[in-house]
Amino acid sequence: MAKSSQRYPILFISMAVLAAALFLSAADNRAYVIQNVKVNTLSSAGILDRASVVVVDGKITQVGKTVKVPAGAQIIKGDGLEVYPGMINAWGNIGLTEVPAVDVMNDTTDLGTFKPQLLAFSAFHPASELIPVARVNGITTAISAPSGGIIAGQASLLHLDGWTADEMAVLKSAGMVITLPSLGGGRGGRGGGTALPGGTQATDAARAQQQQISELSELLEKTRHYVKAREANPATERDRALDALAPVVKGQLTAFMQAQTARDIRNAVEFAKKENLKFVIQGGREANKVADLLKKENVMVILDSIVALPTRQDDPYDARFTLPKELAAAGVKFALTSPSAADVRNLPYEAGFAQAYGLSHEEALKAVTIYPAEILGVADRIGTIEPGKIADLVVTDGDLLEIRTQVKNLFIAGKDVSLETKHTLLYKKYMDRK
Amino acid sequence: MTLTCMRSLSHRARWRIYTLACMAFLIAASAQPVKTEEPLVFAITNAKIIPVAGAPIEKGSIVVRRGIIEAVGANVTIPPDARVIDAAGLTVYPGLIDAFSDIGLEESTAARGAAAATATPAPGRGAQQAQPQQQSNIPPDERQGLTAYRRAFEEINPANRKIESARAVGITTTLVMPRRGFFPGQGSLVNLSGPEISQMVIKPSTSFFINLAGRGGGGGGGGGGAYPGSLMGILAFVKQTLLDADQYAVAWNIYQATPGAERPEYSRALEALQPVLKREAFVILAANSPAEIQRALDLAESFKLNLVLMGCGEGGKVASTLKSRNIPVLLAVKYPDRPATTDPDFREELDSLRRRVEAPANAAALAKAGVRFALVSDDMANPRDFITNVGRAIEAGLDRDVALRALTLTPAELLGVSDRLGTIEKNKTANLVLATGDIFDQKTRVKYAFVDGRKFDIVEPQPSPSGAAGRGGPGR
Amino acid sequence: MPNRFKIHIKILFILAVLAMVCAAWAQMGSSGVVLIKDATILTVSHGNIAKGSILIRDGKIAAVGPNLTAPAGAAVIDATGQFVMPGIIDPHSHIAIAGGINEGTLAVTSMVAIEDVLDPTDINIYRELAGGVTTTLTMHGSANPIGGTNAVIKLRWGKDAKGLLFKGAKPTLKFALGENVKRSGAAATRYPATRMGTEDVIRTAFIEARDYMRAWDEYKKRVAASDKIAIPPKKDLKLEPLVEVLRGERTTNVHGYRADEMLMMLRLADEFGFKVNSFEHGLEAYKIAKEIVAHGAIVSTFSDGWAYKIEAYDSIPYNAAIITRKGGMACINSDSAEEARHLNQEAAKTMKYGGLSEQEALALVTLNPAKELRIDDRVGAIDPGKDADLVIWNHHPLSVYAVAQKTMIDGEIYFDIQKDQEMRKRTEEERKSLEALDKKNAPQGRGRGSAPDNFINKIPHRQD
Repeated sequence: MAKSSQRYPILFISMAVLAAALFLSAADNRAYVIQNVKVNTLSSAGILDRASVVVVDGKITQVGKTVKVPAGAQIIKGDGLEVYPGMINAWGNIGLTEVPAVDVMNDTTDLGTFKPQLLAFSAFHPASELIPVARVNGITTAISAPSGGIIAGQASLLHLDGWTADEMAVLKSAGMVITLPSLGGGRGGRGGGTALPGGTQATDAARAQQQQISELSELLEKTRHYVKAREANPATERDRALDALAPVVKGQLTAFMQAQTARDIRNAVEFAKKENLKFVIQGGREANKVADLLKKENVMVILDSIVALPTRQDDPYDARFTLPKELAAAGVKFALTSPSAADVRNLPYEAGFAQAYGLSHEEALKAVTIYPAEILGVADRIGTIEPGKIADLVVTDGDLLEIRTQVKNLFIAGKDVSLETKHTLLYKKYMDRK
Repeated sequence: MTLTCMRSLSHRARWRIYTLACMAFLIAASAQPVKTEEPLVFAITNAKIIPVAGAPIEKGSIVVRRGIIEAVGANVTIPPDARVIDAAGLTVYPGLIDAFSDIGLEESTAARGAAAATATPAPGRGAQQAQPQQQSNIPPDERQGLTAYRRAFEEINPANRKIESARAVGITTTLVMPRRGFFPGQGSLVNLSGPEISQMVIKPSTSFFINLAGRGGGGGGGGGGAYPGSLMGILAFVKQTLLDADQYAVAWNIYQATPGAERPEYSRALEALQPVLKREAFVILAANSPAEIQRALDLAESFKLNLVLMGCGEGGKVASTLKSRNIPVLLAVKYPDRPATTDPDFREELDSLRRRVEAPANAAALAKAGVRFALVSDDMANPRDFITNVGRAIEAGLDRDVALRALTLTPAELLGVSDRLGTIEKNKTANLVLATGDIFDQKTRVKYAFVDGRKFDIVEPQPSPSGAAGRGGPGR
Repeated sequence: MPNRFKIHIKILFILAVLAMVCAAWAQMGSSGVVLIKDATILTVSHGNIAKGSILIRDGKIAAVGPNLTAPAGAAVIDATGQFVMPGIIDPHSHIAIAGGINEGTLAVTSMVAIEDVLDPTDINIYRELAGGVTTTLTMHGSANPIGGTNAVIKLRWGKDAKGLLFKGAKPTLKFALGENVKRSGAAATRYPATRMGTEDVIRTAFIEARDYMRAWDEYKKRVAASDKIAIPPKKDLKLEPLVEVLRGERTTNVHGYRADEMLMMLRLADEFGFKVNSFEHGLEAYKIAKEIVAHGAIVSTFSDGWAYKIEAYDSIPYNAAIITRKGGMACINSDSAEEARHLNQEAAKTMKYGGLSEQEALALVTLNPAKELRIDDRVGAIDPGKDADLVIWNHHPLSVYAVAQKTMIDGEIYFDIQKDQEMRKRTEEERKSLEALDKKNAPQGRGRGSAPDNFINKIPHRQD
């Protein structure tokens, strides 16, 4: 029986080796060195000419003029090229919608007014054709946020590469989307806010608005009581909605307070402060008009697209374009975004336009990288090129914000991601048609 | 008187009594027992008179007989059969002429049904089925808005309250125009008397209205709804109709002149439009902004229409064009309202603000450029607001006399009735307004109005001006 | 005469002559002679001039080159370090239209005309000038298989409707295919509800147009033969433009997305003997580049819009590049008052997606649309003899950082970034004085519309 007793250890060891190999290959542990490249760190280290960036196991391990090249690392020649942190699209609903005109393809907006338990992550569609297209110009992470009602649900922050949402999630829950009702007013203006029942007179509308805000307040108050009750007695019956709101009232989960007009922003700030929420303003079309307040209260803003028409006939033609410059001058921190799911790839041009109309180059770059990271609370992980951070990187043949620039390599979580999309495939297919 | 007494009188005395009795009987019989007696002869004395033709008369009299002004002046003999009205402290004006209004106009039931049927239906297959059913009751002309044959007086209700309100501010004559559809019909010139419409009509038909604002204005939109829906659609529809009317005449002329020719279809609307094409009738187009005015001028030019412009709220900006082309203007004074809003941060657009602030000065600008115009109420809901707004135009620089003329002699001239109306002169129709002061003064009250020599006591208490000094009007 | 007087008279005479000369100089300056000096000139027709000038006289380009001197009295614009390109031409726009861009009530509305309803007060005219646009094709919408006739306009802000018209531009007619026209399913209330029906409607309309032509020909024959009972057919405003299409006197702009519907239209056009001049959007044109190029149709498309409708799901930003490489002509259009303001940057995207050259990219928003509209003899490139429709930029127009500094049409500056700043101050002042006047006129109980009652003075607060 000596032969058979030797078989089992061999079997065991070979299985262990196989398992290890499988396990290791599941995580992308390839090492890369981007060599001799201009590194736009966007950190205090500034710009490093002809430096190198080392990526191992999905993380940036070294950044500098001299680096130790790990064994087996793939060398990417960066001569004449630049590398930037991957851009972060801090608002939008990619993955929750495909073709907006086709109802069945939309998962952004469920029924109801208060829906805190709804989570974008749970409906995120990783195989959306929009995702490869979105990242093609250097966007590595994006927010996907639900809409509708006063509490639309929780937004999620995901990497724009992966087989499943679990693989892609950076923050399963990035924050709670809250939209106080807007006192619409007699004239136009889309403005954020819940639509009020049609046909109400001015005072009725005000009353309706007040009532909805009261309801929200009560819900938050109820949540606080619920939290105390559960702490005192863990056997207390659970409530999904209140569970979802618990971190919000505790000041742990950010509230994305959606507001566009000056008055709505003021209202939102006042409300959030009264309720002791950790919050940012989302939308902020007229944030420049209340910049002093935002600065005083240290409120950060996630803007919508600035490439848009002025809302009023009398507004200067560049009223939307100059918003970033004005906010920067007032010392308000903001993120630029390209929220339309099919057009996320245009995020660098949001920054480019902001720069064209007065924002500095550095601030423009930061507004799509480190500032969104800070606003979303993930600045320790992404947003700059620094050792220890996730390897979200974009290698280009020029200025990241310029239209003509080509992306050479895109790293998402340390993986050199394919730049092939539905579009490039159709391009090749039909160029080949004789 | 007993027979016994009669027998005791002489034969002559008896016959005298019989004659007297007959006379008394006849007099008693001729007096209508219920009706308040309307004297046919009036004398208005001690009045300040503004004849419009000629200088004001500080203190004079007017004699009216059978609806005609018999005499007017500082020294007029008062006929013995006249009922005297001491007008001390009152000013007498010619009855005001509102040359484009909807005073007294009431939609007929059929017309209201047509309006409902031609409104844009809600989307959905249901609408498609519903339409044919409703429309079968509505004649095609109504459905299309092509009722050029309709004359306004056919739709005037003499008991309509607006007639009274109009008289109460001194309006005694008006051109009423139908409004529904694109070719709503023909305007009727009426005196605001009554009680029957037959007693009011001066001219049953004066001019045609082509309504480019149409059903619910521009917008068009996707499938469904009746053509035309957009402004360009309305213009195309109007042009095509005029072309059709032209071809209609050609076809009928050939038919009538030549045996063997095919008989064309009959069209009431196209037939009614013939005077327009022959330049025998005026065509009124509404236009306010310079772009709208230009559109109206272009349309008139391509079809060689005799154009009258109505509205011209911003006509002052193109006054020189209007002057050089000699276009008669029916000038509305519907000033834009301040926008209603619930938004405390609301900031009115500069264009809107400017238009509103400058609106009252428009009339003065036109007058200064030498453009001839009559002042009209268009479709203002409250005639008092109309006069108030004329007052604002005067405050903004319109000469008072020009304003008065634009409500009296000028409209009379434009309407071709200046031999009968528009001034206080001998042999003219007795349309008069007796007011407690200057007719354009806010505090002035009209005490009496004479229309066709019939006296109306104005008993309306001076109502507080309504909030709607802007656009309005029922059924719009 | 005493000497002193003689001297005085001489002096007066000299002063008078000087005054006249000055007046003459001033007049020369205002007679429209302008020199744009020392810029990088992107001619589009014959390459770039690294440092050159453009002489403008009476609204036309008189000379272009590296060494031009300003004639006496010319107004000089120093464009050192700046870039000049031809004014952008947007061949698909819906600005400056009053009273609705669609007459959607009927399937065929070729009788309606955008030219009839131009609105010269549309602020988007000014905003587009600030984005370097000088000419647009302002069009009927896409609600019908056959829409209305369109208008080519120059953005001469401040002129009246007639003053906007581009005189001599070839007439056009709008067609539309696909989803906008048929609105299938529950939303359908007007025939057609399918692409099959769309073909039927267009075919039927052209058959009617042919019959109409025949009826008129017959009438004319009968009149010539002294037939006394010949009654003329009605002049039909709907069929006239279709007749003009059949005769080649009017070009066609066909809104289409899907390859198959565009092929349908090419087939139909071939059958009736006319040309599709341009496919508007034509997002799947790249799939049938062969057929489109063979027909000679132009593709007037978006830079990178896609996926907003299912018929746009296969749209790719390489469309314009593929068409160009396959020997066809492409334009980039906006179909949007917003996007029209940065068509130069939209054109730049074709360099990234598809590798078009700088010259090819510039042509997509200048010379190519000029050719599409048959106005390339006058605009679309910087050549002597062409209209002085020019834009001065602070950066190369294909850069994301480019901001228009001045926009010129017919030699006149219609947008100037400095003057725009000054205008804002003046606007504020005017507003203040108007508001003061308004307050003065308003509340004496005259009922002049709403007063403070309509405003909510207090922001509602939560009840504590």
